[in-house]
Amino acid sequence: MPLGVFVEGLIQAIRLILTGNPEVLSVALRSIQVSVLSTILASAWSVPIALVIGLKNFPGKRILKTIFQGLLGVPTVALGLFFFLLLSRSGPVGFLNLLFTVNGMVIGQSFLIAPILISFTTSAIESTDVEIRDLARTLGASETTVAFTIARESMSGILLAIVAAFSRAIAELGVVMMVGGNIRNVTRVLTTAIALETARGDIAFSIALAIILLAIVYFVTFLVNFVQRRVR
Amino acid sequence: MTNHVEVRQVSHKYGQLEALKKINMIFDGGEVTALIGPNGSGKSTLLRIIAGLEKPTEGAIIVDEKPRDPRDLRSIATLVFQRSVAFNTSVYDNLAYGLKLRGLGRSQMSEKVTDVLRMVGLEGFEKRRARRLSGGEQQRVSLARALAIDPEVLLLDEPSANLDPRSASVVENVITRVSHELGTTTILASHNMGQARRLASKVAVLEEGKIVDVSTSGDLLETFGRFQNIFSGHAVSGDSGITLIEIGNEVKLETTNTIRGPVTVSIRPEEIVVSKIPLQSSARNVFKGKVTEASDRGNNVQLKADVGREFTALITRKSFDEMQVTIGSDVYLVIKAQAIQVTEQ
Repeated sequence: MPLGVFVEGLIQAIRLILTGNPEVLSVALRSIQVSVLSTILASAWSVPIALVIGLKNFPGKRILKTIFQGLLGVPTVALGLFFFLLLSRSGPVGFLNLLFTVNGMVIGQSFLIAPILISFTTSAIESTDVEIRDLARTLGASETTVAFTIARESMSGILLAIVAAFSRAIAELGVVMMVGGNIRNVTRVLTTAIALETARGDIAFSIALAIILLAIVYFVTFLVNFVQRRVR
Repeated sequence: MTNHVEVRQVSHKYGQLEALKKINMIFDGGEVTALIGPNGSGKSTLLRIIAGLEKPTEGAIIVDEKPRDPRDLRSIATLVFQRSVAFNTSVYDNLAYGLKLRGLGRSQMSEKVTDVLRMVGLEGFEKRRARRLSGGEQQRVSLARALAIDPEVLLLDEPSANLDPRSASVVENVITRVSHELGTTTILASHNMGQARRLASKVAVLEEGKIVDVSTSGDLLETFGRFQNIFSGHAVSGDSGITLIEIGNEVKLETTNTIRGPVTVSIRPEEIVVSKIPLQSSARNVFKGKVTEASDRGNNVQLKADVGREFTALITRKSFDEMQVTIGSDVYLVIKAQAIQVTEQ
């Protein structure tokens, strides 16, 4: 009875939210924490990279853009495996003890979502009227100020890139499962909890978690749309 | 301000395309100079180079006897683009952009913004979104934004192209005022001969990346007549003592001059006879082409026809009405050999 299970899941989701179930709350907050931190971390280096790619002409620019576009579809489980091997005790950076930690998950996810941020932000910057750059320059702006001006003018597109990156981070399973290990009260997040509960056969609880996950994604999307309207 | 701007041996290439060819020109400090010429003649490229937005492939821009690199030029000169461009902010923030870069305090900035908005007739527009204004208002904002930073050299690319008459008049008045009252060296590119005559004390004519004539505004009516049909070509000897000048696209003009080699030719529009049928006449040059444009000139009509190269002819309104030509009509252009003015390049 898929519909029945769904309705049961929906009712359970509402009940879990309204009663403030500590397990659900902890998992949901950890999901938000990991995704927000990975989005901030990735934005910190991806947006400047996108500004350079979008504003400068250099040999190999097209190839670089193609590489980042290709990475948009990287299988999360493959990237998770890569970070698992990298961070495991015998791996090259195993001494950092990041495997099965929130910090490890944040780093892994930031690499997963960086191509989204770089590709979308580059595209937003390149679609900004080229005359805006000339306008800033003819009014006396230095190249750094021109870059800031273009970033501000492309803010609507950059916000879209950030929300897409956040949504990818909060909804993905591969990296958080492989790097985090789905440890209860430590690294368990919404997606790993859904996978676990489904495997255990508690479909209604899984649906409840999935609905919470969707609610977070939509809330962030609406919030960004609101901000975008203000920016415009 | 008396900033003399000298363009010295400036050439510029876009890939294989030579946009400017060894241009030499002096723009007098505090004067308004107009650059006129057809599309693609290099006017905008020259303005962009003087503005420091592009580095010339060869040559230098000298301001007050010092060669300046593009960065220097950007602090001296500012360019108002042909198409209105505005930051996606309020009018106030658009105007304050250059002032913030120059470190002005809030009250000075506010005072300056109010002043320049008043100059362009947009008082009270501070809080409006710049991109939501009409085309004419946006172009006035562009001019105000350029004036706000008190440029030593003001560059304007087709400042009133596609503007409503009120905005065009405001723009022209402001250019005159800025030049007279502040002594700002002003260089404007224009298609509009009347505007060049009204605003500029000197007019330079560009054709295919070269300055082919510089005249004072007083000579401009003469210039206007002469420079409607300007072509670069190569003159060679033909049969029976005539000279053949190839002006591109296999269009060859027969003339009576004796100059050989690279030349510039010009033909006054009123010297060109337009006919719907081939004429039996003594004229040496007859070309068949299609009408591309017809514009009202009071009792006359200015016709443009493409015969491989585009020629402009001036005919009476009566002839125009009788011939019943429209855009796309086949016409014959007839030009006497003696009507073609030839100068050595």
